[in-house]
Amino acid sequence: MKKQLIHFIRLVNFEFERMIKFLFGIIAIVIVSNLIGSIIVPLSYMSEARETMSLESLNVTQFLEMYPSFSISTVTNSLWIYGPLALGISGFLFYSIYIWYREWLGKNTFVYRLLMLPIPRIFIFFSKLFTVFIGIFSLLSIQYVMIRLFYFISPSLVSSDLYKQVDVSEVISSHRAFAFLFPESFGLFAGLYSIGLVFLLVLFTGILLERSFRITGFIYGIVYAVISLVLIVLPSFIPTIFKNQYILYPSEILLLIIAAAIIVSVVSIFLSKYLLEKKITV
Amino acid sequence: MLEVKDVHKKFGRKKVLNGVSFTAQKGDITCLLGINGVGKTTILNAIMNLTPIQKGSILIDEQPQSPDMYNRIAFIPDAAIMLPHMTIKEAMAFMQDYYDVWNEKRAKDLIRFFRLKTSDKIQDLSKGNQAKVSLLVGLALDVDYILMDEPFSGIDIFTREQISEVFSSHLIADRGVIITTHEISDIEHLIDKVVLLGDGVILKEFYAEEMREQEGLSVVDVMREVYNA
Amino acid sequence: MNLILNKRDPIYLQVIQFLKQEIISDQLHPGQEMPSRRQLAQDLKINPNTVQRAYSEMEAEKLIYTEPNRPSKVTEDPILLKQLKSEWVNQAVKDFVNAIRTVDISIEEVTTMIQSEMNHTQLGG
Repeated sequence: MKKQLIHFIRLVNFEFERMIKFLFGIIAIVIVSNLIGSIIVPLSYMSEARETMSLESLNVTQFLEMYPSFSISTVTNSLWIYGPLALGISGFLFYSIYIWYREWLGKNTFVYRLLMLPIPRIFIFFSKLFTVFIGIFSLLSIQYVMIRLFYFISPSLVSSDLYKQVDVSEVISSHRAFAFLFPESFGLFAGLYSIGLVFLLVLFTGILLERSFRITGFIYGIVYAVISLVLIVLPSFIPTIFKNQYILYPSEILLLIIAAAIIVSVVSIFLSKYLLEKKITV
Repeated sequence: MLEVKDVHKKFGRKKVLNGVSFTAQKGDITCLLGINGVGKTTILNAIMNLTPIQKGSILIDEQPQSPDMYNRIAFIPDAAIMLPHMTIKEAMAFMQDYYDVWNEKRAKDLIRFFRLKTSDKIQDLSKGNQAKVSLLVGLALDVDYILMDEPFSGIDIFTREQISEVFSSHLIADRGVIITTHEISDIEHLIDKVVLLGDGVILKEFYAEEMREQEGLSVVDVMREVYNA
Repeated sequence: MNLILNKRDPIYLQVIQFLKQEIISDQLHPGQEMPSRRQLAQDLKINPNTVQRAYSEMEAEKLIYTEPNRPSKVTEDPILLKQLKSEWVNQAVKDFVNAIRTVDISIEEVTTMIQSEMNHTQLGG
């Protein structure tokens, strides 16, 4: 038992080391772009504000009546922040697929080595899952730290009468992506990341179906993903389907969604275990 | 003993193995012989549970396949299977991390035997030296059986000589070896048992020395008889 | 050690022949330790199992002997060694006679030729 745990931790560490260049690359892009944004956005706000004020001969009070003041939200709503975040998230989506296919592709077919390790093969599955999750969490933590950092940089570049203090929780809750990625309530947070986890489980299972049965498997994979999706969203459509809004309480619908998500996860794990043990081909 | 019993395998609709049965004893060098495309590699992959079979069974010392079998049987495929950017040293450390049966002393013996430098990166090595690294990580495991897929293909004559020396050396010791090849002449004197394969079936299974003693036939003579029949 | 093997005769017999020749020519002298079976296999580039078989046969013929936990040694029995030598020469003579049977030549002529060949080899060798 203990030995198996050590093997698993080593495998996660190994996968993490293989990801590190990619992860640091993404993180570097986020940091650099965020830093540039935190400087450029207030500067350009200031120059625009000055220009507008002089062109329209407005004083600060008049200006603020017609135009928005500067807050940290001004920074977070800029492309400097959205851009690398979108890049990072789509990067990880790509990486979730690449983390499997790289074992088969290229001159060195490492999948032989991985499958021949004297450990349960589902460890390979979980180590990859963990690694992607660690990567995404690292990216998001860095993003969160960057938001905090903006408070030390941007305000000093804007004249104080144009700056409006908005605290972090408000910046996040008013931001379309951040509100989603950094939800305030723990329930929402857990729910969101559980959905992310279920998504990865289904994606990995789909990949393993493709790797086991090739073209036919690709079709199985898509069918599997569609069924999983339908199963999870179905409860929210029950009132519509039965044309009866009162058929279930919202909490009951939520419970059904959770149940569906758990079923999909368990099926995904067992199906992946079965495929890795019995159906996979090098 | 390693037993392959009535193994059937299809890729899509194409039948690759059509009821393959043979055994390989511990202490013997067993050679799977046949032209390319008759399913030699597929048999090894099936033994190692690297590809599913539709029918039949594979037993290793009477036990079915399991993750623990990789501590008893090693496979050296005809491809580099360590990450290209790893140094030989890192590749060895990786093996040691997961295999209870990794034998560091033998690994060092092999490094010396093959004249390799552990600080070299695998991707910078010649094809012959990459093949040696593959052999190294397989042979350094204290397993009972070693499977090698075409260990002599595509490498120069000196490397080939060096690799065939392995077979008679203490590096193999008393383990069971199965090797596949389409070219017997290099190793005819080294092997115990020959399993002749034709299109997914076993055509003949025999001990080379018995064939010489009882029929006065060389392995190539038997091949000629079997394949021309 | 150099042994060119043919592919049709059992290798263990070829190895026995080879070792007998080594003993007769005193390359391996009475009482000397035989190379280990793996060592010999490696030197001759053959399978250790084959060497094992050759050693077993020679042991049965008492040409080599093995004390427990010791390497095998060449026999020191003078009668056996003598027998081995005469067997070897007998075989060579048989082969030779067989080879020249069809040639019209007298025994005296052959004796002279053998004499001169032997002198030659001794001088040369």
